[in-house]
Amino acid sequence: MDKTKISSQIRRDLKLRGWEDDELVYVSRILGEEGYTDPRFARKRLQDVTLESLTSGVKDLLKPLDDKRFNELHDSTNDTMPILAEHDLNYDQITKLSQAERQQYRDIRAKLFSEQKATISHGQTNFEDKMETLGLKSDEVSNKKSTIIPPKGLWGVSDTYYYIKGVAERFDTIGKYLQDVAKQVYVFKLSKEIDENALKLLNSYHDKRMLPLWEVALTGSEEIINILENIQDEKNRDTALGWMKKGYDKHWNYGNHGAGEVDYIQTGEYIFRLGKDKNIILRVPIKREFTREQVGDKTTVRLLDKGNQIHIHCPGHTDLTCLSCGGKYFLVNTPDGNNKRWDGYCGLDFNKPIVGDEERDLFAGELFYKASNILLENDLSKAVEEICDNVIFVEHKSASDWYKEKYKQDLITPIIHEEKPEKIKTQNIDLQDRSMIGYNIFWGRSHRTADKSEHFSNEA
Amino acid sequence: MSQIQEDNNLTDINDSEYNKILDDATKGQRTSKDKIIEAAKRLESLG
Repeated sequence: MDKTKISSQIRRDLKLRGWEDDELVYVSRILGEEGYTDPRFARKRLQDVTLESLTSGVKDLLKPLDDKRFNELHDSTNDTMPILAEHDLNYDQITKLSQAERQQYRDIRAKLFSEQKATISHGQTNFEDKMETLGLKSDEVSNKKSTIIPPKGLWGVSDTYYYIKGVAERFDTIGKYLQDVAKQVYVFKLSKEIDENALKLLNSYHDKRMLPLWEVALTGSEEIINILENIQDEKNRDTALGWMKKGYDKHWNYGNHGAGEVDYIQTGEYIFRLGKDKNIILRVPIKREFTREQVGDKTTVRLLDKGNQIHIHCPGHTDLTCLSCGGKYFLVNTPDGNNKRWDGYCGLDFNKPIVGDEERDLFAGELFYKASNILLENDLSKAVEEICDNVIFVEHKSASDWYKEKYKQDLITPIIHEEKPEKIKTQNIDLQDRSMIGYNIFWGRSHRTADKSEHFSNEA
Repeated sequence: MSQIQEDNNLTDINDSEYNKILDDATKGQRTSKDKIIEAAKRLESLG
């Protein structure tokens, strides 16, 4: 690689890993010292970045001024008001100032406070960003959103990342070219004749070339979309196969609410609890249930209009016999006067819509059964399941530290037992008991907040 | 502070050693001068 581009490349790649701009300035400076400098950016990059410029600015505006020094400054023939304004003068000192001096003291000091506020606010934002990068959150934020995404410091590339990105780029390129051509065709509006010719050629290309080659590919892309779309779904995030499983549980086992309880969401939070035996410490994952609406919405299939009806036709087996004479032959009187012999058909002929939940659920259940079997054999679906199984754990504290903190005693060799997930309300979790946090694509995600979900669960 | 301009033509470097060095630098060794220089040297050696 061209030496002048190395610094830019590294900064780009570190930025993708979550490095902040001020950290990238540091990287740039180090590489600049080593001779990896892009001359285009060299001057801009190095100007004004000194330790002083980053740390100066916060002055103690609340410090008092002793009377001796005050008198010296006040009696001085120089303009000492900027120095006086940096001090918190007492009442007696202020009364010694003239009316004009008091006004000047007030204005300069108000400006200094305003500048301090901006500096501190900027510093606080910087500080919060840095702490978040290291995975450290305030209690407030930790309680509100325990698991969304891992701290930026843990982000990283992998071979699968490069592969998926590569495939996406290839599809993207075709899409982009088509969009570009479409835009040109719009900007340079085609004449009627060229429009017809071009469309004819495109249709011909589609039929003669694309169809044979792409028919399979198009079917394949439908499949890919069906498998991948659920991961993009912010509201109901789970894999296609995950929803299939919930579908089973709803239709065959537990119903909407029950399936929500059985197929829970991991919050990612783990707590410590004391076991019954000596040295045993339990680590308990906290779960939340899916809402019954989520289960209902995602696991029910709306039938298409075409299929959502049943054609009912008279079966034609109505036999009539005359009570008086025992005869079996009747005439049907029609409005047009063309009376005809009764042929056993009553004329019943209409389409009946299928509206019953029971039929609909049976139908949906059958679909889930077939579709999930297909997905179980599908390698893309399996790959997605693998990716979604990945969990990144960050330990808050060790079992020994927790024990020491909580019981003020040492526990030399704790044995940790991993427990089954439990539903524990947020307010019942002692912050001190927090053991670790797990980050997963789907954990902690819910349409409702955890607290609301608990409320509805209790009301149910 | 001036914003560093980036070259938009840069693409991912598909070299596991280079990416590992950057991952290491990201994991708790943020201020490690050595890692950053090591990454630069690795890139240079890739030609």
